[in-house]
Amino acid sequence: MTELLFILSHPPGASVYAQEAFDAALAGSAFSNIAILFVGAGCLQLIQPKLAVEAHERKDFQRGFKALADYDVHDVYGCEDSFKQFGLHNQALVIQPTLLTRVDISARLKGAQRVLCF
Amino acid sequence: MNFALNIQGSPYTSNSLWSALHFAQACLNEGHCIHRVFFYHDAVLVANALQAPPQDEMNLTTAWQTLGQNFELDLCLCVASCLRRGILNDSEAQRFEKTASNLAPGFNISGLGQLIEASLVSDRVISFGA
Amino acid sequence: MMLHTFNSSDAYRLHGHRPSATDLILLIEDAVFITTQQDLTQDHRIRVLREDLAQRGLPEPRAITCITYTDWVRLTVESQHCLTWTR
Repeated sequence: MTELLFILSHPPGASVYAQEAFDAALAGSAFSNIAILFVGAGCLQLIQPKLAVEAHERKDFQRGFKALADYDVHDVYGCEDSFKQFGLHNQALVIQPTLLTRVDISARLKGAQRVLCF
Repeated sequence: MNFALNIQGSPYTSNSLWSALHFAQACLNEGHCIHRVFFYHDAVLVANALQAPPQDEMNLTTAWQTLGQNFELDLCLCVASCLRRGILNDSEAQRFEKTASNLAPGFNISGLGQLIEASLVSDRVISFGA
Repeated sequence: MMLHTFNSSDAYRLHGHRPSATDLILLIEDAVFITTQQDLTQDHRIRVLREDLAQRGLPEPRAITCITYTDWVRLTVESQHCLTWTR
């Protein structure tokens, strides 16, 4: 059972919010059984960034997505509507989340003990 | 009921700290408990003791301090958010060899575990987004 | 029942389709400006935060339920989850 469901809706890039929200989800995974749901512009975090390593302008925090299984996080979801809206179906993604319809999302929310929105 | 508040918006470019303040007041007036108020992202900037807003403007920091004191609330800031944005208590200032600390009284700095714990033990978690 | 809070027009445009028929929608902060642009009277799930309308000098729209912070707290008690949509 999902104890904490993290909804991530911030796009990467301009702010550090997406990175910090992911940190919160990782912290959650240390204490409980979590699930992550990428929605809206938050789905854009899944696109593989092209960052010059020496620039260090922003951290490639999305590398952490690949380590989610090591943190025992297996329920990683993306909103299917948002994927369509942002044209993500043909993009190179860091990880491929399980895509959920609106009805699926409602069911996951109902099944979660608590929901944290970022 | 037991509430956890998760506040994320910046003091001057978002309404979230105000919305959360009024929500918290209403919540306590209704007889509910607030297990913890967790300040994340830019919301930690509310605890900067070096702010000096004009006297004819409402002081958000003072408002939170007063509410916190009156109801003995745990006003907890995320340490990682604080360090990035330069909100330091004495021990962090010393650890990073900074010339001053600036954490306003009434707030405390701790880790993300406090948000997770509060979310798990409270009946409701309310996020106040940026 | 879940309570979906929106705090901007953008958030409502992007995520306004998410609440189910039995959920409730609460417009706060800059999302209250939607009341000046869109006829919301057909959607009986919508609530608008009275204080945020007043703060922006907006009238309380007819046929839409405007609520106080205390009402908001009561809605959170009745809701299984409170979801916040900001962008």
